[in-house]
Amino acid sequence: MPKQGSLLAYTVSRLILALPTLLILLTVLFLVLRILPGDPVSALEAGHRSTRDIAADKARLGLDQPWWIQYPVYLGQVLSGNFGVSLGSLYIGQPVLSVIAQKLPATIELAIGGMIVATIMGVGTGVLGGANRDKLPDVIVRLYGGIIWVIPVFWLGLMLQLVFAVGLHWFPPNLRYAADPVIYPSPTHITGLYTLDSLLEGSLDKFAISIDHLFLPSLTLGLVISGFFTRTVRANLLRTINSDYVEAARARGVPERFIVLRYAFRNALIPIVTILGLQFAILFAGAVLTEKTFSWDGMGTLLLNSIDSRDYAMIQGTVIVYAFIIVTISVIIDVVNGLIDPRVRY
Amino acid sequence: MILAIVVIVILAIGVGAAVVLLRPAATPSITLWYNSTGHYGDTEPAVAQLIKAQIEATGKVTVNLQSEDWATYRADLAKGNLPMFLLGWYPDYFDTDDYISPFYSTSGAQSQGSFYSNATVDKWVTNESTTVDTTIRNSYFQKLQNQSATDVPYIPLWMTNAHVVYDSDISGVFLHPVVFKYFIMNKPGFDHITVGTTDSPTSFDPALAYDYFSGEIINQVFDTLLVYSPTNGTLLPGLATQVPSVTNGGIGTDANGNQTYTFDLRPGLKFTDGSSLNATTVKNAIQRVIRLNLAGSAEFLLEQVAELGRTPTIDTPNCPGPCTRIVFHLNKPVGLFNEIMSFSVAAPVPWWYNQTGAQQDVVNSVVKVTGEGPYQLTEPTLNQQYVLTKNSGYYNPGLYASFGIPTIPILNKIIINRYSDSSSLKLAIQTHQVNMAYRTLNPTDLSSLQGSAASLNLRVDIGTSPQIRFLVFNIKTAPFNDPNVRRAIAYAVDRNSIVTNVFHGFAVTLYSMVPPGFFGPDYSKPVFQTIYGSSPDIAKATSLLSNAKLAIGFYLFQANEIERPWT
Repeated sequence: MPKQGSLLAYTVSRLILALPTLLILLTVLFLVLRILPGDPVSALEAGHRSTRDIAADKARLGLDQPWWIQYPVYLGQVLSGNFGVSLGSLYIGQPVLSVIAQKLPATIELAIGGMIVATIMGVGTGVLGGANRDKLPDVIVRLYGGIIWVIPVFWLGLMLQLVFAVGLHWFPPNLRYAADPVIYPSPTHITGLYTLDSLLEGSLDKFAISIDHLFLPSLTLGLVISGFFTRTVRANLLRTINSDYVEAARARGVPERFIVLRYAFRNALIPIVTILGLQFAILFAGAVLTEKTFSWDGMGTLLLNSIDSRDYAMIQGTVIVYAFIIVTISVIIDVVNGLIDPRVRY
Repeated sequence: MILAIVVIVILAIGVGAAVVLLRPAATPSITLWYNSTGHYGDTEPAVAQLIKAQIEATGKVTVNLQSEDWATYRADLAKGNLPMFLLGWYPDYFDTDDYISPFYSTSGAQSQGSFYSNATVDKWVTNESTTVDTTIRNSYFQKLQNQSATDVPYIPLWMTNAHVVYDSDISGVFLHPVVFKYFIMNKPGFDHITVGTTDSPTSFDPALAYDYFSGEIINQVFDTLLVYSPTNGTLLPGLATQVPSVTNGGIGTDANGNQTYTFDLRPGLKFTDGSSLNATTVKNAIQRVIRLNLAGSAEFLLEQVAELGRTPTIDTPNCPGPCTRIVFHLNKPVGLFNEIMSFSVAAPVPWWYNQTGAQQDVVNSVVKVTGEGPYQLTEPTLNQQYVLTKNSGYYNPGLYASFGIPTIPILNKIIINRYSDSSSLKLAIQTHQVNMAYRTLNPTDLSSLQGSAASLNLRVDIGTSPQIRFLVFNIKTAPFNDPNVRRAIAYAVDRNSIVTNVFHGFAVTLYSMVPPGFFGPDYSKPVFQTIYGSSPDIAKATSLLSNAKLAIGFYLFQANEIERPWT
């Protein structure tokens, strides 16, 4: 038994708490989907087949049963690792987890790309603003932080497409990889992350094509998220830059640039690490619209299509995988926080 | 003082009551429903707004607009929850009947949400669908269309456009009304082309596929007993050696008096995996579709429309042996059996296809779609990219030799990429990310590409599509249970305005549920134009609505809420 207050005990307790979170989410989602009007069979067949045929198909799939009979059956399947098969028009009959396994790498790749852009832009502009308080760079950074945060992601994506793809021809407008696999063969599937697979295959050409396609979607997603980072980094930097130990360093004649980067910035980063982790979760949600704008075939596109066709099993599976990722990241953040600051373990 | 207050109060009550009682009667309201999630593209709200304005021009009703996502919309229309709504139709099989029986037969009308039922019309539908005699069919189709304009359960509005945008050096591109044929295209100096589409497939198993894109791929990968000419809806022999007719003895009657269709297969047919394709294979494939009866499939076309029934009677008289003859015994005579045998649902599949469910397209990264058509599906990345590779052993390379196409398929590969929407597809063709954009660009994007086609070195082909758009009335629901209300709206709608203002001219006005110009014998008759005119007649619409006793305000507070039981 891990000792109370130990990092291990804290980690175990966080993991145990994550399970009911997922169960509650699954239950609520299951109920909400059944309350919503429409169902997968009607979405597939209404308008073409008779009402009698539709009713028969619903009965065959067990969808004519009340939710309190369907739910235990579904829960039993999920607990045994079976998320069911798709009932929607796009993936009908295919196991939900196998479809998700195909789409998840695309979203992870986009989220990582977006996070890199957000971090570079957010931290860079935040430091620039914080180090030049109330000067022109700070004013520009504050404007950037405020405006970029409220720009709709699809609009920004479209603008970037028009400028960099249509106007300048620097980047392809959309898709994850070249549209012509005869001339540009795709990387061999290893992880599903095209950039990583290209490197594992040892092909820099394929890596370049992957990055080429990843750039605009990542820039779109990352820029929108970066506004929050900008403001947070700037605020934290201003707090630390006026602290006693920085004043002390300044009094000792330490150069300002050194003070900002060595002392103030490092300390300002501590709360930002926590925010970075949480933003990663938000990034997954933001990826839904970015994926649609760039025809990026990932989880967001899958979720949108599944909702449109009331594909109960696929929606439930997709949301649970999203939730699992977010809960996992949040547990990791909690553990890292516990590691940094032992007070949170008690 | 008290008396004065009492008098003032009484006067106030009196004035208030007079204001309430003497104010003009509120205009009754009706609700127009439309899909809000882009099933018919992003033009639907604009169409609904125009129709609303056209109906409201009568001054007799106000029109509320309500929208739903596609899944809810389809469920609600089938349940009879939508009193007046916009809908579209793409034909299953290429016959005039597919624009008649799904709408005007009692069972068909129920699934369309109009709940129209007329015993005489049912009889006419049966009569037209059970004969191949064009004179008899024409007579019934004329009666049916005339009746449709009298009863008005639907108002035909427009035919959508078919379009394709492609590199100007690609040849052999035809906007075929049934299936887009990649195997007759050529691009000099290239052995492949890349295509962009916004379509999504369901499955490439003929027993499950029932959407345009799945059918399009199936038609490149599988041949059916009969196939279409490269440019129009004329049937040609495919796997079979001739198109059955009464004249050549292919259509006959069995000892029990049942109608029969007999097909003779070409000898020595094989699927691309080497397994044989003979009369038994065809029989098993048809029986498999009916036995599985998969949710969302086109099984009903074989079982119900083609009258094969749940347990079809299919003979293979020369099996074992050459095993090339197959005879279908129908429960009732069917005049459009040949058309159904050329639909993707009737495509034969190898014996090893899943007999207990749909065949998965890909299992462990291995493609499991096996046909005998001009192309093979080789590298699908599900819902993202589909690669069609030339079937070097195609049994019928000279299929279109008489049309000046000596051999098919021409290109080695066709690579189809999926895009999320019209704007993405436009960017793809504009930047030459793909060589061709086929389905679906919205009118604005299409118009823009048409304007810049020459500078981009592109060609834009526009044609009419067999897809029709129309207004549906649930005739069991007030006020649309009154035919005069439906007729009034037929007078009020302005098709030209919709075509011009919403579709920039990329659509064609439609005056019958049967679109003109698609079928060999053209049975279409513009009955709505004859009766209601080419342009709106607001005076007649107003007069009909005035007589329809709408002014009592009964529908003023008509509930838009729909009761939804938990399931």
